[in-house]
Amino acid sequence: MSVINYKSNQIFPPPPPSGDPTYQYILLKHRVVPGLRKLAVYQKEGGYEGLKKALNDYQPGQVIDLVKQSGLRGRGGAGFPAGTKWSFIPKVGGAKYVCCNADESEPGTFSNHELIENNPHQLIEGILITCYAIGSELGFIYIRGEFARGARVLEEAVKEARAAGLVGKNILGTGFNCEVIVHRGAGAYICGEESALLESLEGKRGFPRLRPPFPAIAGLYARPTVINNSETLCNVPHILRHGPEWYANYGTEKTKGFRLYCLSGHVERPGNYELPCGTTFRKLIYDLAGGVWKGRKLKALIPGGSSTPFLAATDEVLDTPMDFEGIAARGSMQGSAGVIVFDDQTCIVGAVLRLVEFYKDESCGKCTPCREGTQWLVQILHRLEHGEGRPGDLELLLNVGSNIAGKSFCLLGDSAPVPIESALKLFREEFEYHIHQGRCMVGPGANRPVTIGAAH
Amino acid sequence: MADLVTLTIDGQRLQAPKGATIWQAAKDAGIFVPIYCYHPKMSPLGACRICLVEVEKMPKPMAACTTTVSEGMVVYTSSEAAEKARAGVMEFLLINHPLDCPICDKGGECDLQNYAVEYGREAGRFQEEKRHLGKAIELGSTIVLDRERCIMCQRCTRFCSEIVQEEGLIIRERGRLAQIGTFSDLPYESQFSGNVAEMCPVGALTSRTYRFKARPWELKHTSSVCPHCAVGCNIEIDNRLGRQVVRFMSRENEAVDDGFLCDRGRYGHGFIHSEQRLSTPLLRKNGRLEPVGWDEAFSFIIARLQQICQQFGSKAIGGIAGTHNTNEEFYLFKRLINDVLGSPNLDHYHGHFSSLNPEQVATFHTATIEGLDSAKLIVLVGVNPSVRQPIMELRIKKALKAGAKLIVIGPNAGALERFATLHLHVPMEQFSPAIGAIIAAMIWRGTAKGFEDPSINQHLQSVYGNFQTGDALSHEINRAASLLSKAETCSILYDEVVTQKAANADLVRDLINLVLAAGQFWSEGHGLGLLTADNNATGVRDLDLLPGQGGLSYAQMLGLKGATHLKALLVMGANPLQHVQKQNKALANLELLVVQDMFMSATAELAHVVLPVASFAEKEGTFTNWEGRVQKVNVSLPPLQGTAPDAAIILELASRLGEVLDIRTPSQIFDHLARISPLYKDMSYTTLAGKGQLRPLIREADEIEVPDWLQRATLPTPEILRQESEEYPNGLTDLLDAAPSVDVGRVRRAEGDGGTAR
Repeated sequence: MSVINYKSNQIFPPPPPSGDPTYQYILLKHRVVPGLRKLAVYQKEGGYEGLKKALNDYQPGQVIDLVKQSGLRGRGGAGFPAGTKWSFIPKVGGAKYVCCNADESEPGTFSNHELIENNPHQLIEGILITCYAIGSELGFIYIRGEFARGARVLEEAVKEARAAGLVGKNILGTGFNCEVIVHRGAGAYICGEESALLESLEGKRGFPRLRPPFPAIAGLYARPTVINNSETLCNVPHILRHGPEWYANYGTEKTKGFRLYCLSGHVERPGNYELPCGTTFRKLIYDLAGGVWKGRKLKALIPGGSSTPFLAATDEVLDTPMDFEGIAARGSMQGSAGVIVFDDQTCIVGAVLRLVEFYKDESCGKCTPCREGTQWLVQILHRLEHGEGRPGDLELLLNVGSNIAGKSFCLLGDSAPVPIESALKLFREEFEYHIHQGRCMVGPGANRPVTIGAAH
Repeated sequence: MADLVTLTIDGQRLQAPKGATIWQAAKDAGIFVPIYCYHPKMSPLGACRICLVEVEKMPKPMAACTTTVSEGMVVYTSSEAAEKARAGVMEFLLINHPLDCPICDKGGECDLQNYAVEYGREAGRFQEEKRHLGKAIELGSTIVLDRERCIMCQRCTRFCSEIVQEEGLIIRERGRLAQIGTFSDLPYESQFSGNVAEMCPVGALTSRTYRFKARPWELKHTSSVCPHCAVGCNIEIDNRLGRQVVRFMSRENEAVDDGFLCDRGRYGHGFIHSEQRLSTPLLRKNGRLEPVGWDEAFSFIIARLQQICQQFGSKAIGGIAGTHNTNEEFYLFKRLINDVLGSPNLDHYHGHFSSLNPEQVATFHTATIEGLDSAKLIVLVGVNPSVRQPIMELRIKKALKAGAKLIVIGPNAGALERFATLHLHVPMEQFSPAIGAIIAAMIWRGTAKGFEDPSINQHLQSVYGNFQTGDALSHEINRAASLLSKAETCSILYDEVVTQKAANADLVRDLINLVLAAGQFWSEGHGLGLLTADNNATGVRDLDLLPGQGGLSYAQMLGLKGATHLKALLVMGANPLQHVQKQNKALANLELLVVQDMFMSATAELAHVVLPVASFAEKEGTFTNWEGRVQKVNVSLPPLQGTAPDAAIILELASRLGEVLDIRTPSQIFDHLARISPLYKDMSYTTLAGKGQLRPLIREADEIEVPDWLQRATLPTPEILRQESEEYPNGLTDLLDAAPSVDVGRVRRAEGDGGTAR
């Protein structure tokens, strides 16, 4: 329903008034301030105030403390407290690095995309503050290769910032030196995994690394390295500018602040929604996004990107606050906050096949279970979807899945069977219908003629 | 002593060094955990997951090859969870693996096959279409790749990137499509390529020379030592049904080869079965060499020898030994020439070591191969291991990876050049002045370890204190001096071949002074190392096959120093003609020239009698490698019909000359050597089996006393460049670019009849 206009500043439609008159855009300020991409506009709106404050008023260690106090947790998926992560960096001489993970490739997640293309300085400021906090003089932005426009925007912004003395030597006359380098990936989901990202940034094949050593000790070029998601870093300037108490006012007890919920799938108004952490699914989907599209009913949702388990469309789920603990209590994960909505006309088998195919395509091939297992899962699901399921396929799927999860080298393998397991828990009858009837139980596929010889 | 941690594996309480992996701890305790991707010589990868084990308090199974042990850890290698994980991985490995074991070269010695029997299901559950990829792709001149059989353990790619550190095999594509290949489909050419086929746990990488030649269960394995250079890599000779040698495999000896072979060694077995091998004695009749029986050949030799002896005396007889025979054969040859025939004219082709006798040469060369691993600085003086001692290239790269620095002195260090911290482009004639300059610069600094000893300090001051260096080199010389001064441990290697330059006849003196300055004198494992090219050039020197009192030298016997009184020359396994002009009067004027060799050579063409000999695979004995490690070769095959081992020939000649030598067999001879030679003191033939044994270090005293001859050392000045020495007209132009001469000839000849690749 929304036409993406790449020439405009706003590539996603703004959500309707949130119903909360006190809430104002913070991360998505570009939606209400035209031209925020430009340094002059960004500075007029209070940009780089956070950096100034950090450099002039605080010691690096104090900046880490402020971020700790704010309760900012990583937005990449694991939700690790950002300040704590920074404090792991040893206080040693020599090079240290900050890497911004802008490889955003999780299906259902698109917040970094909007932030980078429309408000690059917010990210650059966040990186500069982080560099200052950990004693680094070089920040990297590893941006997903497909985000060509985002990379151009960032490069442009870094240039602008350098010309204004905000990047480079002696920033703001404080003696702090910091460079920011924009590096484009080459199109691999695995490079969003932090250690594979480092390998890729070093010019090697994007394979995840063995841990320990952890990046905080030996990361990029075997030096101490902080890796944070773009959205995490975008929060940092605001924490510095307004103080940690202000930030901690938002959100829930354990998940502070606000974040971008990427709403996609069968809703009337998909897009990024900036909301305080802990807003309920019901408010997001029904109050803000206009509910399930075409007047249909909600069947299920994925709460945090394709790697998180399906949740059923129950009232209990809809009233769950979207924070790390709330969603975990329902048996899924907050993840990257990519909420995917499925209407009641969706055949779950097809949806699961599509999701698992993604993992098969993106498996890096380093470890056996993920490389071989994801292919096998897709082969079985493909048969099921196309009316060639066999009795025992479901047990086989679960068993193969259990041989991948927990056995693979990195989390990609752990994630691959997640859609299967959770979908089978919720909608087993649809899978069985596929085996026995050779077609979908719901949706347009339900009217499909049965493939000859397929049904049992 | 490293810290130990206590852990429990399968109920067994054991201790393992801190930092060790579960796999290592289990292995040391005799508990077997299967592996594919893990390779002891490479950094752990954790990719194949076959080594998953259950660890208490861990939410999921852990890879034994990457998880380090910790205090109180409780590990189960065959619990239900561990077995489920392993069976799952095994199943995954097999789903896309072709069921072509009956036609796979690895069948019978394949880890995938073996573990599938051990840990796999009896029937597969995979009923989908298998992945199909290219088969039997020729990656280069030596290796063939079957992409379907590959299990992506990355051993081969890591060998190229971590060990050889050169462009080589890489992974292409991603995920289920990932496959081994080369960048841009360029051919995979490396002189270490054979190792990837050996370390491949499945039949994905195979050697072109071995493909479809044999099945593993037909092979008889014989421990031996590679005969192709002075490193003496340990090999296993695999012969099929006792008839044909089909391959050499590495027989890992960490102290020598680290488990790797170069292609020259690995594929250099074609000569054993070459059709051009001599298989009958040849006797010159009417100007032509004609096949005769052994008896006729022996009778001819004996008659001529006796006649020459009577007519001209025993000093008219000479002997030239090669550098490829066993120590025991050298001993017998020396006995034959010196004792039986009574001639002092005995020599071999060798370098120059000032006035040092063989015992002193061995004493002052303390560097070992293993010592390189702990060296902080490696200095190469006129060394090109890439061509002459290839496995040394890998060993030095290993040391450099561990943090050692590298100084290259000389024109060419092959593949190691790009790793050099400092490269002194000194022409070969200037080695001595350059080293003298470095010592002078070290004296000026005065901080080097060696200068802590007052007597060394005084000695070096007196010899090099006033040495002036040219300006052109001064900056680099100073850097070299600084690196040498800082290095705690340092190995200085040079190649015997450079001492054959007249200007370098006294090079060893300067090098020993450099070792003194660097504080590495009589160090164990570090200090000076003498690289040679041929596999037993060290043994022949150790056994003192050199001119006796009043004896003729190699060059003299060859007439390079003017006419000689020599009438008979016995040559064992050498081709001296390669070092002299083709039109050689001295050899042409001989009344008896006997050549013992496997093949016809330029020298054999001139001979009166040519005796065909057995190859190294057909005899028993010992070789001494460049560091002085004595290693045993064993009989893999009976001698080719019509040939005899050199030892048997010499014993027969001696007995026909009326002297029956009582010390005859290799074990008798070696144990005798251990009694009479200080170099092989207290060694024993029986203890040599397996990994061999390093010559005992000979130390003249506990405290370092600078030997007289070093104190008398003259200042290396340009005059030294004009000093006369034995220099051979041929073969000196590109010394370091030449691989060992005789071997290359042999391999090339073998190649000619289609015996082997390379």
